[in-house]
Amino acid sequence: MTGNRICNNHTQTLLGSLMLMGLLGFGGVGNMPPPTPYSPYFGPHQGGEFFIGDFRDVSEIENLP
Amino acid sequence: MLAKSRIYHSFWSKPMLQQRFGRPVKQQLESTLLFTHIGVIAAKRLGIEIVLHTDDYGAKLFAHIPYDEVYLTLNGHDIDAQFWASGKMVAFEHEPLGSCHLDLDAWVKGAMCRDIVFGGTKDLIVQSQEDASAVYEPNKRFVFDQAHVDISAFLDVRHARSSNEAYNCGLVRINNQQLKDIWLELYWKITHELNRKQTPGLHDKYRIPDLIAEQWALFHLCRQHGFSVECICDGFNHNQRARDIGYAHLISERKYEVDDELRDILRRLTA
Repeated sequence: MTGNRICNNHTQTLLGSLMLMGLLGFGGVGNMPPPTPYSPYFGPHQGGEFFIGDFRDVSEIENLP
Repeated sequence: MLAKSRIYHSFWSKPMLQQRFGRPVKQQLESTLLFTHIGVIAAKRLGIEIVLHTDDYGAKLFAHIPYDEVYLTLNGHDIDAQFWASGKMVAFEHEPLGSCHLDLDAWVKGAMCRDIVFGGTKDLIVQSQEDASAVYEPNKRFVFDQAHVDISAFLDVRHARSSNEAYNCGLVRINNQQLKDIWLELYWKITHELNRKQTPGLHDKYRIPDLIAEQWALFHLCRQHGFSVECICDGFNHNQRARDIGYAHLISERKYEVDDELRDILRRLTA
């Protein structure tokens, strides 16, 4: 391995994420990009879905420490 | 070869800060923070070591995310931001064989997926095969017909040129040093030549020659050189396969439109 190890102490809370976003001034959603035929990276993937797998289902890790 | 399951993320700030595809930078970063954080939590809960290769900007941006290690590998990395996958390839050079690159918008969130990825012994373990002419055909024309990049030392281009088959590299784990070396060499051959020539059209909207240097090249190297491959989401319906094993990839631009759902997931995971 190379590269400089710089940190491994972290604040693992959602609060940390949201505070950082607030500090960086993140606001609302901007303009949508124009429609494009260049799937799958800009449109639906094979099978017509925009995502591979189900990102909404985190049940397997939800109750793990 | 690694004894422990290890995932590495890569974040090179230069392309992200140049407002790719007209999407506001802040919006991209906000979404990226959310899905990256969830992916790191998922890996750690499955007992996988997960590290980040980035630059100073990325280290500050992701400082709150519980990586096992953060490396400033990408400080000083400088090439045209069009080659956004180059950060991944620099990180790849620094990682041991058997380590797994996971895109920031892809999650290993099931034990079955973890075991498939890290139990696999093929030369290449990769997310899936794709065949998308709308993406690959115009970019092949750009690389080979307009910029005249010659890759005949690596591939029999007569056979590869007509193919739009590629590996989707949302997840990539390589177990073969020869494959690692030749893929890196071919990637840098294509991107350095394009970077040097600056052929008109390189910065056209929706131009992504990186897909040829990275995903298309990997597929044809494996096919022509006989490297063994396992796609974790192989099969006719790879979306269902991803659901079954516990893998997700927020592949399309739609990933920047689901922040509320991502916040809810992150809230549940960190409650």
